[in-house]
Amino acid sequence: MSTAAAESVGAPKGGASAAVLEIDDLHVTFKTEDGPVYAVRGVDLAVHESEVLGVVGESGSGKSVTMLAAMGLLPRTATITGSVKFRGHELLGLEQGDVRRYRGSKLAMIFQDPLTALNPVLKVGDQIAEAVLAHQEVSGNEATAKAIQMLDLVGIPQPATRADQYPHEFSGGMRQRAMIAMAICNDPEVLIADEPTTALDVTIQAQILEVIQEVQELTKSAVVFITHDLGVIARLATRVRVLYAGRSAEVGNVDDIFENPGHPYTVGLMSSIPRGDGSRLRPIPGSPPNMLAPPSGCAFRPRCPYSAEICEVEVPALRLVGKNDQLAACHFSEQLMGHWDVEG
Amino acid sequence: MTDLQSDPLVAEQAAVQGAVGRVVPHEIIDAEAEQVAPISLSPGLLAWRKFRRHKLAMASAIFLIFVSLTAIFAHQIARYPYEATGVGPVFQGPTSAHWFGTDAIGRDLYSRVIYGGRISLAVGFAVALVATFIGTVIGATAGYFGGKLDNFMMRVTDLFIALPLLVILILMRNLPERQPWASHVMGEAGSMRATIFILSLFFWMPTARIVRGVVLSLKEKEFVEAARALGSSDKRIIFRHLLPNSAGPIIVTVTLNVAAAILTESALSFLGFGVNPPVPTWGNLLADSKGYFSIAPWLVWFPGLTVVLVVLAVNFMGDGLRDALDPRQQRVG
Amino acid sequence: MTRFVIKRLLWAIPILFIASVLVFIAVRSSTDPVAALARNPRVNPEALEEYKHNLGLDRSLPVQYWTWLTDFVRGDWGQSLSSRREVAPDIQRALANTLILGSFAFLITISVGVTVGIISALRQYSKFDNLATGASFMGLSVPPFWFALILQLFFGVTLTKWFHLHEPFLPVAGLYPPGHEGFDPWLRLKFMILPAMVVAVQGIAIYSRYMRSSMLEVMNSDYMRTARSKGISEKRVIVRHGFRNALIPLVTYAALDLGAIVGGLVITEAIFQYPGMGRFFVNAYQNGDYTQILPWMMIVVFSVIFFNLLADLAYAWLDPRIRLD
Repeated sequence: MSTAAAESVGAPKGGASAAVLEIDDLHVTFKTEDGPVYAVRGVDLAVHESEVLGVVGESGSGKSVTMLAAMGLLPRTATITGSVKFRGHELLGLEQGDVRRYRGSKLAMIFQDPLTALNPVLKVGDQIAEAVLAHQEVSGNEATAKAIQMLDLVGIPQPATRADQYPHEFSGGMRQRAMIAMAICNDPEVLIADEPTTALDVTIQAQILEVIQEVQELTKSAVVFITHDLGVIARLATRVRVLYAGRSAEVGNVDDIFENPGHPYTVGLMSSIPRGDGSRLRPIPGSPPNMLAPPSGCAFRPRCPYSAEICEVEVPALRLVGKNDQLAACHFSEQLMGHWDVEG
Repeated sequence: MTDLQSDPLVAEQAAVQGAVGRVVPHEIIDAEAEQVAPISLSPGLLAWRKFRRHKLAMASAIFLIFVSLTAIFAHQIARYPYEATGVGPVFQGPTSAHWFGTDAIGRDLYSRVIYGGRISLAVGFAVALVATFIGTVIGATAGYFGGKLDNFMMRVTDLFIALPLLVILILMRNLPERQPWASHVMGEAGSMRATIFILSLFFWMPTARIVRGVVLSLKEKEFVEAARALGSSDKRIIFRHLLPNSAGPIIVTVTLNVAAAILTESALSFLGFGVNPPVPTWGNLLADSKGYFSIAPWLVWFPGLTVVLVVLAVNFMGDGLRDALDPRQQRVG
Repeated sequence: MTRFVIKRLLWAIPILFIASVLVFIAVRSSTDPVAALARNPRVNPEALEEYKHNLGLDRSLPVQYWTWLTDFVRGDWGQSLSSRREVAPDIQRALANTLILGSFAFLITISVGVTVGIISALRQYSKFDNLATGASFMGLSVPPFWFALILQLFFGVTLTKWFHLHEPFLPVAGLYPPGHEGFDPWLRLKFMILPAMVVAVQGIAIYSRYMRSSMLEVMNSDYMRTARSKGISEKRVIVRHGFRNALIPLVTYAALDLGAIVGGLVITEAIFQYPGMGRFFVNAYQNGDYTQILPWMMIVVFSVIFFNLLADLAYAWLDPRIRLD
């Protein structure tokens, strides 16, 4: 059975919440001048109500592309197969007009660089009001009022004045807050955050994470948080999915994954973080694969210290490796878990 | 892909695994080699490869080389001297003796077009080179040093760019006759040197704007900061770092300037304000022919189409160069 | 914003002043009003001196400049040296004609060029785009004077012969048929079609390419993706977010382009014998008639400076990031 189904069967213990967003066997291929780029090669994903799912991976892992595909925001050069269901409704293959009813209202997204992600020539308040007007039957004034209310909600001081200003008049952190305000104004059930803090200073990062957390507690929406920063995951996420080269490497609860990782890549990621206890940094050797011609078999094999012949031949399937429905895609997870050679 | 299997250490591991069922970590011998190795190309070679893919640009480049060669070897290729009158009947259409026909006083049009190419192309290339040089220097200075100097220069340039080029060129054309000092600087009125001088005087401005823009955007990049931190002088930074990186847009600008210069020169000649007769330029030829259009249309078609084809080729080549040199499209391997 | 406007306006005054000095120097050093007379053997030296004195040519250059400038701003533009007619009404008529032709050509250019550019960008690499690109290259490579000749031949001679008309299919010269009196808008239009086409062909090539690249750049911007993620209609995304931003550099360019109309139709007017500013200048220059050339240059310079200012203002109005100046 698909891993998404497996996940929803063993859903987080905190309540019988249904999967709000289910992605099944997603494949995304881009047509480029140099040939097809296989960005996503069979990813399953499920997010449940009130859950914060962290999606972790390097550049090129397919983490952003997966969620953009779910939102229907990929360019025409992308071929998408698989299934994306919002509360059981299939989104892929819908007419644009139908997808748009979900986009911005049920499913909302915030992006990485708020400076370029906001239209520089339109007022911030107008941009938020636009999102409101697209999905709610309200008057222009009511939409503006709602925009101001949203700005207030995300902690922007003097929201009425600010709504009348342009993006370049906001600081980086405030711009990101404004983006969040724009995303939540229609009370979405799934909020997708695509590396929202990567372009910000560390102190501002913490603030934005707090805002997202507050928003999530308030709206009870599901959050998909895309990042390459494990620290953020540790802080915010309830469940984690690790992606590598367009496929899932590991999925599980945050605590389980951190305590007992099941995939060499996850281990590598964690060893790459400075821990402040004097231990040496152990970066993963090599670099992410070229998605024009990904390695055969397990994509991580060339950089994996535990690889063997089978890894080149057979793509490891995502399977149950630990308690609490932890899944990992490695041929040797059972042998290695708990025995990772992490000493410098 | 390396043959990992043939590596003795790995083979041993495989054997061990098969026997014991336990995975032992091993050295990553060559993680990079697994990947489709990016071919490391110099920017020049990379650009050349991309340019080659542009069939139209390549064809245009070949065509231009061909045309330039005919201009250089005009003496050998032309069948009659350009000023020789009466070498054929007056107003005769294309024949085997006169491939492009003859004009009102019996001159061979084909030879005149070939020689005309000399002037037009020479002026075109010369103006483009001089103007680009001046424009690059000024634009780079303005862009790099910024501030009031930049502001002032750009406002001035903006103003001058919008002035009617043709009018000013016409006004300046006879300057050497009126003012003796001018003839020392720019040559005799109606000479090729004067035409090049005048055209360059205005063609450097759009180039300066473009170079300034490029330098401005490059100035903020980290490699400049790094160079400065290493103690490089301004001059060194400009010449060693900024200019080479601006080479792309500059080359494209040169190409487009050639096209513009050829067109402008021919317009000037057409109106009678270009190089003096009987030296032919393509514009001259068209000026001579315009009255006889109905009776001798070849006099208008041949020089005209020549200009069109040459300028078209330059434009196509410029477009191909722009694509080939676009830093945003640098894809390796 | 108002401070921006005022600052720019204040700068315009000294610029105009300096421009008038430069214009005066340039024109006076390039023209020799007495050359024609001096060559005439029937004019004796005393008459020549008297002539020079009447023109004020024996006074120092700065004095001459000041006299001219004060007269100029008062509206006294003198008489033509060659025809003795008042300069002002003649120039004004020429100016009006050029403005009419220029505006007509500009309208065609903008409407066709911008539309083609937008469609090309939205349907990048499609047949339409490739065709439009090819046409643009042609438009940019064809010398306008040659194109004008071809048009004259085709519409004036060839088509007339084909359809056995006794008057040209489209008029190829002048403002009205010879001997025509009064104002007739349709006739005017008919006579402007060919010259406007010549001007518009180049313009369309430039504007469509410019619009296309501007639109493409905007379409690839992050904020387009954000706009789509809000679930608004694609039409609204393209118009309100895409087009609005793509238009900014074009408006600036168009403003500058307009400023150049006044002096920029020299070739077209020469070939089509259209009595506008271009033809006025060429005639004046060939006669060494600096009393005509001076106000002519001033009008052109003023137009350039004025539209430069307009371009700045338009840019600031459209792009709020600039207003911090």
